[in-house]
Amino acid sequence: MLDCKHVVDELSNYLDDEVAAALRQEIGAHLGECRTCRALYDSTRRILRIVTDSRSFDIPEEVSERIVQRLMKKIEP
Amino acid sequence: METDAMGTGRTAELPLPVGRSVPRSALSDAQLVPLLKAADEAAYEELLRRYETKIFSLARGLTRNDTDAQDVLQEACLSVFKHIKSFKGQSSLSTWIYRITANAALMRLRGRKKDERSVPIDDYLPQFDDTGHRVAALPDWHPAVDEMLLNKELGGLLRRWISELEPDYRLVFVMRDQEGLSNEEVAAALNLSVPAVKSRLHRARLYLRERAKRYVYGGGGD
Ligand SMILES: [Zn+2]
Repeated sequence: MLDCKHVVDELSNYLDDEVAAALRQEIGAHLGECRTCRALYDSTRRILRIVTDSRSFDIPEEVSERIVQRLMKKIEP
Repeated sequence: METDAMGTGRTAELPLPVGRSVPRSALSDAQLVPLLKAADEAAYEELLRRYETKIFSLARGLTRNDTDAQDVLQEACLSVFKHIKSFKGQSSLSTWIYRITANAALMRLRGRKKDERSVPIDDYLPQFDDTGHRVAALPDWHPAVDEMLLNKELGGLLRRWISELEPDYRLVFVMRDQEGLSNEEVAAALNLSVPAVKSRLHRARLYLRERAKRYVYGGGGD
């Protein structure tokens, strides 16, 4: 069985589905048995989901306007 | 204002590679480039429509405040205009724009006072003994960690913890996990190898998870 260090080292690749099938299976087996690594995996995955979901920031309209105007002024001085 | 190669006057008077009647929204990024080089207004409007929010979101993630993010957005847009002529198309337009944005944000971060701390990431990375077992001051498994992750306030905490990442890690994490760029796009935009991107990303993710854990054990004090 893989040790915890190996699993943690591969955690990001595993989360991104970037490990070969055989290793994927081994990591899956480890996560099924090791509560520590399972907790690390579950919570990291959840954190990433929150980060992805909260990604958009609104630009104030006046900022947008100002940029357009500055650009247009450069284009047609 | 620069003049074109023929020396006939303003850039805007160059014959456009695409007719004015063609909607700019129908063009690919690569097709927009010659129009941008010819200072076509409609092309710039389209560029902003496509990238303004992305640039701002990235800038906001990197600089952690709205004012700086707005300044970075403006600088990045003006930089595109100023430097588009030297854009050779070796990377995609989006990669080039992300690189400009990252540079503008970094410049702003460097200009800041020291008191805006980032934390040393190594303090938050997992330790192992010689046999590959975790050496953790606090156990990884705690029901409160799970509970906390369902909490709506976590979004705000995460943003703060991200903002306290060292800039090298923050850049990679924000571009990759927040903005959803690929490893290859981030590598191209930051002039890093793909393995370097992956390694920084991995460490940044472990750092965030560790901060969440310590927050829970610390009773919310961190
Ligand atoms: Zn384990």
